[in-house]
Amino acid sequence: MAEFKLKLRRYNPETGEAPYWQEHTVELEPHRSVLEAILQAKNNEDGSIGVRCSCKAAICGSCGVRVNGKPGLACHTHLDAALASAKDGETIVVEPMGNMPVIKDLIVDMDAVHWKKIQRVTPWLVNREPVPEREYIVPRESMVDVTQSMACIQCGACVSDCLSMEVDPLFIGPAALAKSYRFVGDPRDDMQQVRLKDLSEDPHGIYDCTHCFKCIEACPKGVAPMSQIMRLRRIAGNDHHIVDRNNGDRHERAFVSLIRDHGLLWEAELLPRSYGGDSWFGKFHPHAGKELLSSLPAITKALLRGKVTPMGALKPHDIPAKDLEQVQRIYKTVEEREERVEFNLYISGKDEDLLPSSTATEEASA
Amino acid sequence: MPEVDDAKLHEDEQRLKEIIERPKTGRRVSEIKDELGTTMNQYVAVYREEEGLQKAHEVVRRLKEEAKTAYVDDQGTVFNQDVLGAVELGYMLDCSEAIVVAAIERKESRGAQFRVDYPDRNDEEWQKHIDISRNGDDVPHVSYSPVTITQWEPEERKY
Ligand code: SF4
Ligand code: SF4
Ligand code: FES
Repeated sequence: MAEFKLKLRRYNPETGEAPYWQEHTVELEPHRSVLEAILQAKNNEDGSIGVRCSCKAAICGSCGVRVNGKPGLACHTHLDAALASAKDGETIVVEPMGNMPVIKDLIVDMDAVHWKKIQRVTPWLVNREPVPEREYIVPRESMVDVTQSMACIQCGACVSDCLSMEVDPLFIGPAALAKSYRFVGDPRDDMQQVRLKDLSEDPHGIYDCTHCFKCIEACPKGVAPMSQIMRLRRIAGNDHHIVDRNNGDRHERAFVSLIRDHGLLWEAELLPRSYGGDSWFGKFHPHAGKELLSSLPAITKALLRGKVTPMGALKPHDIPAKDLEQVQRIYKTVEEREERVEFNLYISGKDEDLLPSSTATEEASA
Repeated sequence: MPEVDDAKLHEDEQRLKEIIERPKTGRRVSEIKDELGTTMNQYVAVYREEEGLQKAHEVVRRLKEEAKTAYVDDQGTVFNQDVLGAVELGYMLDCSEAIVVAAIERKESRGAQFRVDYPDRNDEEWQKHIDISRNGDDVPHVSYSPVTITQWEPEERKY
């Protein structure tokens, strides 16, 4: 048994008072969870502490909170680990998740945000017509391919800290987009193209993600929502050639070719090319002029912050010729592949590994 | 959705209000729940015997009394898990009592019940269901009903 100092963020909507902090000391073994600590405080000291939970085994997704500022499952965070990440070295700070309104204490309104977004992506399989008389036979690889997104337990931890959602609350967001990959990647689904077109054209869709990795870090189930979003983009752009009105696809292409040609990003050329076409002439395209004008505030900001310099507008960054060669070798290797390689990092190894193989038995008996 | 009549609704509202307004003189709901869990785990798990079961029954009866005055901290109307806990405690106590009474009743070992004092299966007397009902009463009533055997003939467990 050890003592742990717990600091909870409390909020009661009925008092009209601002949120406040409450401290508790609990006694538990260090391998017990932060959830157990919260429940001990609730049971022994203050029954009014609001916290959602059910399974206590990281499978129901109810207990999403922020521990020391990081989103995750309270029941999946050991007290010793939480203590190790405590900012002051001794207090475990628990707060409700972000990007969702707080109903009470650690309980957030999942309906208002998370579930609305899940509903947005048609989260079910749309049958091909005519529906076959017998069951579909799905190749094993395609099931493995969607397993990662199927592992989601809807806890909302990724939504909590999504940077894009912070600035654009309408962003469909990591969990819902991962869910949409679950069906886009399913060979039985009849709506792949429709889904992708919809998600590309929506200004709050797949191109709204800033690639910040926060959702990958947050997810307790290894769903890696950002990776699923990138796969949606690759299938939309490369397989269905969807060029969206948000310039998402063009922006990505401009980014890729700038780095191929110059080894480093040429910031000043990025926007003109995304808007006007993927070449140095892009900026002279009438379309570019209009779009660039609307991006003027962003450009000014970039200039002021030194992200772009007036000189940099005229020529790309210097990079030694042999380094550029290396960069271009990577491009060549990737582009020469006949098929796009998609990694699924969720499942590794083969079925056989799970069976007691003959070699393993031999080793054991040796 | 089934229609809920106003009288029933009002009755339930009163019930919750009564719990919320209890003075803090009794025990904490969580404390009773904890004692109930510990007791059931100790005496009414797989290995059971008369003495332990009687003890458990006594404790459950006492806790049922104590639950009537058990208090909650949360006086609010938003996401009041505390009052929910108090309501659920009542159901837990009812279920626990039903389990204990049935376990005492069944003087044989079968399935998940291993009576240390009656280690054998006794089809002659006990191949029947024990039904526990409450029927608005505070004490459970015991009755029996026959077992319908279909495809699988019951056999002695040999593992
Ligand atoms: S990578 Fe994209 S989806 Fe994930 S948290 Fe960042 S902005 Fe949000
Ligand atoms: S993707 Fe991960 S973090 Fe996001 S809701 Fe699903 S399980 Fe939770
Ligand atoms: S309580 Fe179910 S995931 Fe934590």
